[in-house]
Amino acid sequence: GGSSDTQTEADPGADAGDQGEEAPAEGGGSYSIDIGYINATDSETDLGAQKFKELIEERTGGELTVNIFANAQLGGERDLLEGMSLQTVDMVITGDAIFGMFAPEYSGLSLPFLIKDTDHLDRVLDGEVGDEINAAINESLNSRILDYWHRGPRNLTANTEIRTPDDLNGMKLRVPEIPLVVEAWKILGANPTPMAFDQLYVALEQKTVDGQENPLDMIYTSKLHEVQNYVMTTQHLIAPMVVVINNDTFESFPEEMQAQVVEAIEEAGTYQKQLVKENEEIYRQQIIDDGTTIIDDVDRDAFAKKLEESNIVEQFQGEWAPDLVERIRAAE
Amino acid sequence: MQLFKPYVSFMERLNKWMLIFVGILLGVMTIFICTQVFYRYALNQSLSWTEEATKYISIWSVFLGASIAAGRRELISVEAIMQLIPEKIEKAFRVVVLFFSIVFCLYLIIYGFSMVQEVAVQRSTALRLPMWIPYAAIPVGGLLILLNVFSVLIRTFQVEERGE
Amino acid sequence: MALFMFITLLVLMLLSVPIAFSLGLSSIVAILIDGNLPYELLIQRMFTSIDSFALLAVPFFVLAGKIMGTGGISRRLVNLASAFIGHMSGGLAVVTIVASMLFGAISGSSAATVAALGAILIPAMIKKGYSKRFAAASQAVSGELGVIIPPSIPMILYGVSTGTSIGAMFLAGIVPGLIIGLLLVITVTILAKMKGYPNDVKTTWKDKWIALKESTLALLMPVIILGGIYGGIFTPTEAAAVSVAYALIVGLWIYKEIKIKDLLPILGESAVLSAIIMIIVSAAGLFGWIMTKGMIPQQAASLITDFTTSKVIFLLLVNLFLFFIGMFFETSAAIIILAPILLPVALTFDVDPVHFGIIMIVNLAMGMVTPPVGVNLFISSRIAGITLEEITKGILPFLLVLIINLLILTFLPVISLWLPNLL
Ligand code: NA
Ligand code: NA
Repeated sequence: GGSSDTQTEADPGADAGDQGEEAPAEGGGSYSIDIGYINATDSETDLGAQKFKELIEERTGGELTVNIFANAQLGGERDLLEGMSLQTVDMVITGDAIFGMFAPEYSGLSLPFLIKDTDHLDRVLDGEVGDEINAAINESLNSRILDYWHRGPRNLTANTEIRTPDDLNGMKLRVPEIPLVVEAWKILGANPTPMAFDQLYVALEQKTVDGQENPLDMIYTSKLHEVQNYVMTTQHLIAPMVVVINNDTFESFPEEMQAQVVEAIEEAGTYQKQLVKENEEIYRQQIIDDGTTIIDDVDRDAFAKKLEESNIVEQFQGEWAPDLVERIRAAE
Repeated sequence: MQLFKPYVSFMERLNKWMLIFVGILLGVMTIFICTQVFYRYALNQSLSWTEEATKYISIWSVFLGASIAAGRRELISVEAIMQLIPEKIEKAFRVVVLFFSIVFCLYLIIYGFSMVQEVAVQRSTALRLPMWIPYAAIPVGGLLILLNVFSVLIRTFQVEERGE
Repeated sequence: MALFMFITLLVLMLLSVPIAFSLGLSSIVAILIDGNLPYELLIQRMFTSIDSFALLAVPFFVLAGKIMGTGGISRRLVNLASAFIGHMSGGLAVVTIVASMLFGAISGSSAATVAALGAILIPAMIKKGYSKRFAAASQAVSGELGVIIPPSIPMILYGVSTGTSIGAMFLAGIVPGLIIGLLLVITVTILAKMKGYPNDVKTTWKDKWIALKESTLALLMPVIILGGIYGGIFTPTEAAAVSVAYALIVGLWIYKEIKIKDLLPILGESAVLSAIIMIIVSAAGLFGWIMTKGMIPQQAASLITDFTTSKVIFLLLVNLFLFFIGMFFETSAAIIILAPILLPVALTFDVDPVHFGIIMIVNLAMGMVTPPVGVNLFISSRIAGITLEEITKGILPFLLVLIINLLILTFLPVISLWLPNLL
C-alpha cells in the first residue's frame, strides 16, 4: 500500500464495491495508509488512530486516505509487524512486544518494576536508548517509529488479596509467553503459566489459572474483573504503544505530506495520552461498580526489591544492549 | 516411460520414510502437550516452551504430510465434474489440474525461500528460535509436493499406456 | 479484485484442482491484480493461519479417533448398544444410531465414525436381512452425529476461524446431537416396521452388565474430554492430547488390541489426514486475509442487509445456501472458507455466534449425505457394495427428517444455547 504511482488497473471488482487500496476515495486521494492493530474498536488506541485518520484526511484535503483495521483483523502483533516489513500493511500500533521480537537487545524494557512512571518512560524513549531502538527497528523491520503513545500500567488481578511477594506464593498466574516476564514472576513467587489471551477469560472462570496481569482497560473491556475478586494496582509494567510505519511507504509521500503525517500522529498521540489518563479513572470506577475490589496499598517496593536482589538481570543481560538496565535506571 | 520408473519408485520410498517421520512428529507433539499438562498439575510448574514448540512441529508436519497426500492424490478437491465427464477427457483434465498444482508449488518454493531469508533475523517469543526454521517448512514442503505431483503425472501416463 | 478472485477460485475448484491449491492460486491472482501486495504475503499468511495452539486439537482428535477405531473400542460400543436396545423395533438400525452417538462422543469426525462402525454394523444388518440400501443409508446418516456431538473437528475449525469459544461450541452441540439421534431412532423404527425387519433377541441382565463393564473405559473418554475442559483442568487442545494418551493406554495395555508396532502407521496416517485438513486451513487463512483487506465481509453484509432486514429470511437464505454448498463441498473446507464471511453478516442480524456455528455445522454435516459429493455416502456404499445412486435413494426419507430438524435448530436457538449459557 501507500505507493504514489497508482496506475488504476482494470479492476472488475470495483463494481462489486471493491474499496481496496487502488480505489480512490471520494476526495480522489492518491496516497493511502492501511493501519493495523490488535486493540478493539473504541479502545484508546483505536480512538487515537481514528483521530489521526480524521486529522490527516482533512489536512491533505483527502489526498491521503487512511484505512483502519482494528481488532487483529489483519493478524496478531507478530504477523502485523512482519507484514509491515513486507508492506502488507503500512502502519502498525503495537505494545512493547515489538522490542522482544524485533529489537531483542531492548527487551529489557519489559522487566517488571523497572520503569517507575510515564515520565520515566518518556525520558528513556526520548533519550539515547530510544535512538538505539529506532535504529534497531529501522534495521530489522525497514520501518521507523513515528511516535510513542501511552497505555495504562499493567496491574495484577487475582481471587486473593496480594500486597507482598509472599502473597503470590505458587499462584498460577497467566503471563504472555515472554521468557523475561515468565522468569520475573517466577522470582516473585508465582507459578507463571503462559497462555494465549483469547483463552484467558474461560481459564480464569474455570480456575485453570488463578490470576493474570494487564492494564485496566484490557481488564475492563475483556471483562476479566468479572471472574476475579481483586485488582491490585501494582503498576508493575509501564510500557508504550509504539506507532511504526514502513520506510518505503513513508518515503513515497511528498516531503510536505511526511511532515503532516508526523504532526498528525503526534497530535493524535496527545489526544490518546489524555484519553489513557482519563480512562484510567473511569475504568477504575466501573470495575468498582461491578463489585470487584481494588487494592491500592500494594508494597510495590517489596516487589521491586525482590527483583533487584535477584540475578534476573545477570540472566538476560548477555542478550541486552550494554548497560541497558543501568541506563534506564539512571533516567529515573 | 520406462525411463521414469526409478523416479516413481524413489518417490514411493521417500514417501514411506516421510510417513514415518510425520508419525514421529505427531508422537512428539502429543508427548509435549501431555507433559505440559503433567507439569502444571502434578508438579505445579508451567512449561513456557511446549506450546510454541508443538505449534512449529505441527506446521512442519502439515506441509510434509500434505506432500504425502499429494502423492496419493488424497488432497481434498471437488470431484463433482470428474464424475460427469467422459473418461477420455478426464486424462486431459487431470493434466491441467497437475499443471496448476505445479504452478502453485513453484510459488511456494520461490517465495517461501525468499520469506525464509526475510525472517532470518527474527526470533520466536518463547524458544528464541530463529524464525526461518519453522518458516522453512513451506518451501521444503512445496518442493516435496512438487516432486510428488511429477510422480502422479508420470503415473497418469503410465496407466494410459498400459490401458491403450 | 474480489470478483476476479472468486471466479478464479470457482473455476479452479470445478476443474478439481485441490481446494487448498485453488485457494492459494486465486489469492495469487488477487496479489497480482492488486499490484501493491508483496508476493511473500502468501507464505506469511499460510504460515500464520496454522500457527495456532487451538488448531493443534485437530491432529490430536484425528489421532485419538484413529486409535479408538483400531483399539477395539468401536466393537465394544456396538455390543453395548446392542445389549440394551437391540430388541427394540428396528433392532440393529437403532443400534447403529445409538452406537454412532456413543462413538461421536469420542471421535471428532464423521468419516471416522462411519468407517469404524460401518465395518461392523453394515454387514451385520445385511446378514439380518435388512436391504443393503437401508443398512448403508442408516449408517451414513447417523455418522454425521460424529461432528455434531462433541468433540468435533468442524467445531474447532469454526471456533478458530471466527474467534468463537471452542468449549462453548462443544457444549452447544450436545442437545442438538441428542435430538437428531432421537429423531433418527424414531425414523428407523418406523421404516424398519414398514419393511418388517427383525429385532435382536432380548439380552439377559447379565449380558447387559458384561457389555457395560467391557465398554466402561471407552465411555469414560467423553467424560475426560468434556469434564477436563469444563472442570478447568485443560484447554480443548490439551484435552485432545490427553485423550490420545488415554486411548493409547486403553488400547495398548487394557484392551490389548493395538500392538506397539501398529503405532507408527497409525501416527503417520493421522498426521497425513490432519495435514489434508490443515493445508486447507492454511490457504483459506490467506484467502480470508485478502478478503478482509479488501473489506469484502462488510460489503457482503451490506449487500444482504440491503436485500432483507428480516432475521427469518436471512436464516432461511443462509440455510438454503449452505445446503447447496454442502452438496458439493467437504464440511471442514466449507466451514473454514465461509464462516469468516457469513458470521459478520449473521451478527448484524443479531444471531448468536455459537448458535450460528451450530446452524453451519448441522447443515454442512448434512452435506456429507447429499450427492454428488458426500463422504459418508462414499464410505457406507463402499462397505455395503452398492452404487451411489442406490444409497442416495435410501437416504431420501432420512434427508426429510434432517431438514425438519435443521429448521427446528435454526429457529429455536435455545436448543443450542441452553447448555453453554447454563455453565
Ligand atoms: Na464427535
Ligand atoms: Na454433499
